[in-house]
Amino acid sequence: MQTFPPLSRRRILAYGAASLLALAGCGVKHAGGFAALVLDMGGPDDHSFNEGAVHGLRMGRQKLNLPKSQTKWVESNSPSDYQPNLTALASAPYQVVFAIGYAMFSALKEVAPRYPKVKFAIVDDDAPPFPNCEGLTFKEQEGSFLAGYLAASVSKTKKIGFVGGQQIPLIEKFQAGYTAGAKTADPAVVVTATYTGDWNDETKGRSQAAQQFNAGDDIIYQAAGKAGLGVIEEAKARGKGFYAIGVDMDQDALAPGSVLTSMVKHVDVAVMDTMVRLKNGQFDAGTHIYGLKDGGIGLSPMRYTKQDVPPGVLARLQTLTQMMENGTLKAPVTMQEAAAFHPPALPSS
Amino acid sequence: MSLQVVTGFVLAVLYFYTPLALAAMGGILSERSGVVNIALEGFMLFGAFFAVCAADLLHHEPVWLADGAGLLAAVLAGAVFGLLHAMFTQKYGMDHVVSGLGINLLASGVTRYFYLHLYPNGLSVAGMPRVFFVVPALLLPFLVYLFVKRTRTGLRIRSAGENPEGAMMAGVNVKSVRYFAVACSGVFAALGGAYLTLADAHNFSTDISAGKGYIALAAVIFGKWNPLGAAGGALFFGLFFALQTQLEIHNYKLVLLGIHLTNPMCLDTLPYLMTILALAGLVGKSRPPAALGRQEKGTL
Repeated sequence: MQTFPPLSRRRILAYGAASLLALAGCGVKHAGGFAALVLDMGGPDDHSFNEGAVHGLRMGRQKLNLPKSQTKWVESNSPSDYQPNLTALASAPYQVVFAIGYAMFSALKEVAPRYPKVKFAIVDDDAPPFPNCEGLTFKEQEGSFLAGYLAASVSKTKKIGFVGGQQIPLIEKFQAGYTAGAKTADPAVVVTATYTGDWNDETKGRSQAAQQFNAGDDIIYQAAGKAGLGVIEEAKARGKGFYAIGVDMDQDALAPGSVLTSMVKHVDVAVMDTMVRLKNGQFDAGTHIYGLKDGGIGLSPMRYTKQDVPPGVLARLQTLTQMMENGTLKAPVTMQEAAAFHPPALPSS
Repeated sequence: MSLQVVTGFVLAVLYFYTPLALAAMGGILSERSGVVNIALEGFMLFGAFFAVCAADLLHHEPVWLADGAGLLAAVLAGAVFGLLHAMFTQKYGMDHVVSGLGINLLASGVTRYFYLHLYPNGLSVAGMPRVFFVVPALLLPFLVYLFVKRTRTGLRIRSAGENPEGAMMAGVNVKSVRYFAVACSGVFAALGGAYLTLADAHNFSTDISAGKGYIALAAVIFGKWNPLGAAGGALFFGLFFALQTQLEIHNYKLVLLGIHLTNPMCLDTLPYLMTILALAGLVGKSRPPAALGRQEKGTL
């Protein structure tokens, strides 16, 4: 039998510190399995990005007929959790570990080469240059383009708004596509844009939306995580004639009738698709881009608001979708491109 | 600029001001009694969560009853966690910042866990109009000012923060005074949190306090530990947050020395920058309570 030295105060402190560190690093030993997710800081209740990923994990599990124990997701409470979380899941091991969010790129770059047998996929960023890494990105500009076209067509004030979470290239894609789409519907439409600088602060999102509505906007597109839920709350509080446009997940049901549509980014489809491809031996390094064409992006079915859309607009959205799918229309990805964007000629209907 | 834009702007300032001012008044009471309170953030988050939980529990009852239960739950949660902070710092002599940080982490973890497990599909409450919080938040600083400066308990709180030994000699039970002050601070901050969920967002999402407790503490320091000054600080920060949005809407960009000053990320640093300036004495002399954060040896 092994004997332990008596616990000195110092030792207790050391153990305490170590166990704290282990806790912080999500030190629970994972059992291993097929697929696991490391969520970003928003949490699985963001009605958006993280929630979509968890949903995709479930869809993939059902599609592949895996038991629940074969999949797992963990949350990140701060950027310092990324690396320990990725390491814990890779060493479990899971066959594929998803990094949900561009912010995990550098953590993934550290962890991936150490586990060459494990596959990694990062959502919203290109893959780090390793044979076991895939990047899953989306053409957010395409869906945002449709959202902008729809908003400009529905707007009565001919002024529409955008609330972003952070001024980064990823969110600029949303703003650029939206602006270009609005321009395509009506070159006279004005787009106002504000950024919350914070993904959690619902009240800040609501405040910005309120001020934009007061400035004359009647439709506001949000791409601001949980802060964006405040935009939906404000549209709901104002009632008829004011709309929010949801993002990432179908958020129409959060405030039926007040959410014109949602620009759905099917993180779930990307996660599920990657799981299926891995199972079929089709996992290949590099970046997979999901767009309108492969069902990775799209507007929500507008269950509550279809009657508010002027006739002909839905058909023209269909045309625009086809043009983007076959490459005749390219939605801009930066504000610079959006400024130089020339609206395509649409067949009159 | 139309009237609508101006009133909208003023309202936006007041809506930012309200939770900050409520929490800042809590901060004043606690810090004037000598207990550092970075736990405001955690108190707010607990208040936000328990308020919305209680209101949701009674969502079949009349709205006023559900709202009342929500407020009561926030008050209780604030008092309980306030007492916890007082106990850690006064009974067990824990460093005030460590205890506060612990409570903030606890709040974030506990509310996250219970929210995700109890409400996997989210929740939504009818709540109450924001004005129910705004008006009290405008009056409260004056009341707290009178309380701290003009009442016997206020004097005891100040003496506990300035000269606890002297207060003890004069027969004041310093510990009890601090327990009381920190519990009150929890209550005010939790009410600030209840504003966020019951009156503003009408729902809960994890970490909804989003650093407002820290900004409230910055307002306390910026206001030189004076209730009216802290309220001014809260108003000042609210003004800048609202102004940021207005500048963005009208597409004004202020660029100084190559720094885009009206960038939201830049403006978010403003409360902390102002705090540093206040501490550096650039907005007049600022002096914290003499015994603030001191860990007394022996009994008081």
